[in-house]
Amino acid sequence: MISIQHLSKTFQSGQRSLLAVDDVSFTVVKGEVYGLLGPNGAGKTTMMRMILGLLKPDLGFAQIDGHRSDQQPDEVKRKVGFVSASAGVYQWLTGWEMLSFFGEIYGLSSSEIVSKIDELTEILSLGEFLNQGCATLSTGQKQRLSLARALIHDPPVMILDEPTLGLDVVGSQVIFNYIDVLKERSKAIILCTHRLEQAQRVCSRFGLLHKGKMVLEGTLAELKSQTGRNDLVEMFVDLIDEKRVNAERPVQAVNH
Amino acid sequence: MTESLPPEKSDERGAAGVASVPGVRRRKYRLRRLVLKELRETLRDRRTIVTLILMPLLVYPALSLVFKTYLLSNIGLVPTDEPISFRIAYSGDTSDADVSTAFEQIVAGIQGATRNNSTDAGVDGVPGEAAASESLGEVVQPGGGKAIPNQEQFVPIHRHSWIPVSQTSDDTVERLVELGVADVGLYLSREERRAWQVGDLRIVARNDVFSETAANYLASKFKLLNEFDIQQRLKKVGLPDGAVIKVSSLIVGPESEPKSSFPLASLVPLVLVLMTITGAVYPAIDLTAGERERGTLETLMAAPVPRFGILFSKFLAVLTVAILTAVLNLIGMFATIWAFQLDKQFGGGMFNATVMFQIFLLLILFAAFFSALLLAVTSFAKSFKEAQVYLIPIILLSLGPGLMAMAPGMSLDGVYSVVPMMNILLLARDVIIGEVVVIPAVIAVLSTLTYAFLAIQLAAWIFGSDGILNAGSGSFAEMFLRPIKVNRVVPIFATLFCLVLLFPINFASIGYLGRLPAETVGDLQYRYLLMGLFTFIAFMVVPWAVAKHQNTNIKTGFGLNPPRIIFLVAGVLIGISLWTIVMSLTSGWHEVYGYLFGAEKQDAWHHRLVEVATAQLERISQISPLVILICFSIIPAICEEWFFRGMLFRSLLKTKAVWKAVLISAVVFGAFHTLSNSAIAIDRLIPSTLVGIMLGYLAYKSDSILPGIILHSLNNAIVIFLAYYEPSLSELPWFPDKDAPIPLSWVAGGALISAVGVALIWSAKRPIVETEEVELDSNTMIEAV
Repeated sequence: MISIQHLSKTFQSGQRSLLAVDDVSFTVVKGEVYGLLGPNGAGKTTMMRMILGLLKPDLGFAQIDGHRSDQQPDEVKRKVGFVSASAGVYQWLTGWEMLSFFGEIYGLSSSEIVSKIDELTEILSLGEFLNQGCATLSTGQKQRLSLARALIHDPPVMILDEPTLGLDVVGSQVIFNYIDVLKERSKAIILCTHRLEQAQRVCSRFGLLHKGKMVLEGTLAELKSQTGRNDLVEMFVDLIDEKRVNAERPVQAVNH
Repeated sequence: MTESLPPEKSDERGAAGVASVPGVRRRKYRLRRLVLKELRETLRDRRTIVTLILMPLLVYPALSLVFKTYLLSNIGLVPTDEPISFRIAYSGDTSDADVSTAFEQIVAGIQGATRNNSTDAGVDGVPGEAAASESLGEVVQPGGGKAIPNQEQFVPIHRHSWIPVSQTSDDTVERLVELGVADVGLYLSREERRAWQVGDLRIVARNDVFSETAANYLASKFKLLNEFDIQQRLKKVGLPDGAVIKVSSLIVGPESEPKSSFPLASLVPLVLVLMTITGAVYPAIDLTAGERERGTLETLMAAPVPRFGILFSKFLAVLTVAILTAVLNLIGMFATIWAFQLDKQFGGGMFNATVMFQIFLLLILFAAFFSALLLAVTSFAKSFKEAQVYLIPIILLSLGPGLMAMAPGMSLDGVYSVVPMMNILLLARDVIIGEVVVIPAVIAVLSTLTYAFLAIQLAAWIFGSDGILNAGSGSFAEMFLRPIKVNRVVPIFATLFCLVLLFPINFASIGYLGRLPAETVGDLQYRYLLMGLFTFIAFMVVPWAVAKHQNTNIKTGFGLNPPRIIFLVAGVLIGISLWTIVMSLTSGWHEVYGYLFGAEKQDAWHHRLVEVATAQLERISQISPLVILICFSIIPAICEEWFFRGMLFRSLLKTKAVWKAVLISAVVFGAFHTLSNSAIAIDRLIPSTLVGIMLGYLAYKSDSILPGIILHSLNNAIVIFLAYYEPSLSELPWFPDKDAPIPLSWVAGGALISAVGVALIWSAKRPIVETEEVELDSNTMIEAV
């Protein structure tokens, strides 16, 4: 469903250039949740934007259901639901207006929009605040609304960029439970998160990014055998520590 | 997955890339949806509402109060429904007893009539008579009592006092008026004295609004006197039957621009334009930088809508708010003008529905341009605050042309018809005073449309760039970091920095040089050498220092390679011949100017150019030819080539196609020559740009600025020495007359020689240029930071 091939991106800023994503490849199939993990600034967000066609890669490409995001970004966007921590809501619209706006943008008919909003309201318990102005919503409510917004067109692919950032335990539990639901509905999902315990539970496979490079990839069992560590947290700490100690030394991808 | 998609979507997918009818309809529908969403968002925001509704409600009444109490009293104008007092100086010529008596009787007649009629006002059954007598009747005698405001359809009612002048000369009356002792003067016209049988009166006014009001008032009084049972009245004052008082008027004192008495006509468009800007600013920031800050922009872009569609919907939303603001302001302003009767002072009828509609159309045009400009700037910003910081200079800058358009004596022609904002303001003023000239008006509208289009393109370009989502990518400060590796050419931003510096340095040096004494030949030589020094600093030293700072190789950065001989030959050929084409182009442009703005403007403009040229020629004619050669040929050639074809062109060439680099550097070169003479010399734009294109092409093919320096210095030397030696040259039989156009044979010969030069450049091969780029290693760069 999702196929990432040798994706690379360098940012130029004045005299500075920054290699944000460096030759990353992986695939995600239907019904799979792929955990894209890494410290801040590892290049996760850049990668997601390239997958969505929001940024043009310098090298390589991302393919969703046979459409390359650099060539047919609109086709790709129709098939992807995108949620990010920073994805805000329109302050002066109500939740219902926002959902219906996006429904229309994705080309749904009015009756489809109504039934879809009803369905999402049920699952994500939006009913209590759907007619409120978005400016008045809590962080958790906003994030549920964002998730509903990303699902309004029932996309086969979900890209979730730290969807639980800033949420309390209960709030993030709602989101993770819903990711389970999506998995059951055989969506292909890429999940970026720092909630490693939750990720460990919900994700089928993982990719660990650092400084734009894919340093570890595989199922939890594979990662355990490669690193000799028992859980993601330990692997993560190792990864960052190693980098801090050997900042100058180029690190090879372990499984690449 | 596919089965869950709604049927329409499948259709659409099938039609991907094909402009099918449903696809087009859907796109239109989607654009409408986008615009509606943007508008809904903006219009629900109370900050928009504040600028949209409260401002016009509060600003105009406040403004009009200020206008009424301060501005009007300052220019000596008060509304006509309140009585004003003025002093009339009058003189009868005592040398002619009959005349004198008659005149005094006329004066006494007015006074008497007013006295008499004030008691029996309106007793007659005839309406006209009654009205006229009433109106006359309300005039109050010297130092008199209150005037009763009524009968507005006739003449306004004022009080006045008389200053009798018994001197023999009528000049005294004029002098009194001119000095301001009297507001208006009255005497029997001297020229027509011989024929004087009846009442030839001359009204003397000063050239100010107050005095003119008084004169108009007196004239209207006499008119009434004539119209209204004149026989009877004249009999009363002892004049023959059927006599008519002939009234003529005379303005004394310095002349002033007639348009200066219309500050309201200039002020109205400026206030409307500024308010329209105010209305557009908030939505422009909120819908771009604001959305970006809140993270909704990314969400929107993750939807299958093309970026241009998103931008365009934002543009339409901002434009709609701007137009709404304009409408509300227009209504508020005209309502205020109407309510406070401000239009009366400026000749009623100025503000009618047609004028309002035309002003409204102009405001839409302006709003389209400014909304696009605002979006281009705010799209660049990452946050609301940053956008505000960017907008402040834009708004301050736009005040410049706004205030310039307010200046008296400004007219919509020449360069002003293409200056953004200013052209619309001048055109709006012309619409209000009813003096629109078609061609400049069309130029103003077309140029503003062009600017709007360019601004939308710019906004779309910024909006389409990766940086639109890339919040963390760099700051301006990073631009000025010193790179570690050697650059082959100066980075473009550093070049632009030099370009930006050129203008203030240039203006400062012109200002400074203008203050130096210019009395002796020594003074002048010193001045010109100093001018050369400033040119050297601005065009050579500063770029050199910036290039050094940017770790740029000077030889490659400025094109100092030794050129092949063929290019030097071509440079010489073009250098000695191109001036003929340039000069004929300049005179051709004069004709175009005349066609566009009328023969009168053309003459005025030509006259000014000749004046400037003559003054300059007068100065340089005393200076030694060596100094002239250095200051007008060698220094400008070397310095300008160093910057324009060296630094700028080569920086551009790194990222731009050759023709674009040539064209951009040539236009900048042309623009600089347009601005360099302390005044705007628009006639130099096209010729200088063409020379710039030639020089750019030569610099590209030869990969060196040296042939260009030769071309440039020869060209300048010939032009300046033709002027310098003109007095002795003109004695030669074959030399054309000073004011005559260049002979066609000269132009043809020049064109031929230039063509040979161009052919040489074209046929010669460009040397192989090393273009290896300096690889920027991300790690080393970041460490360097």
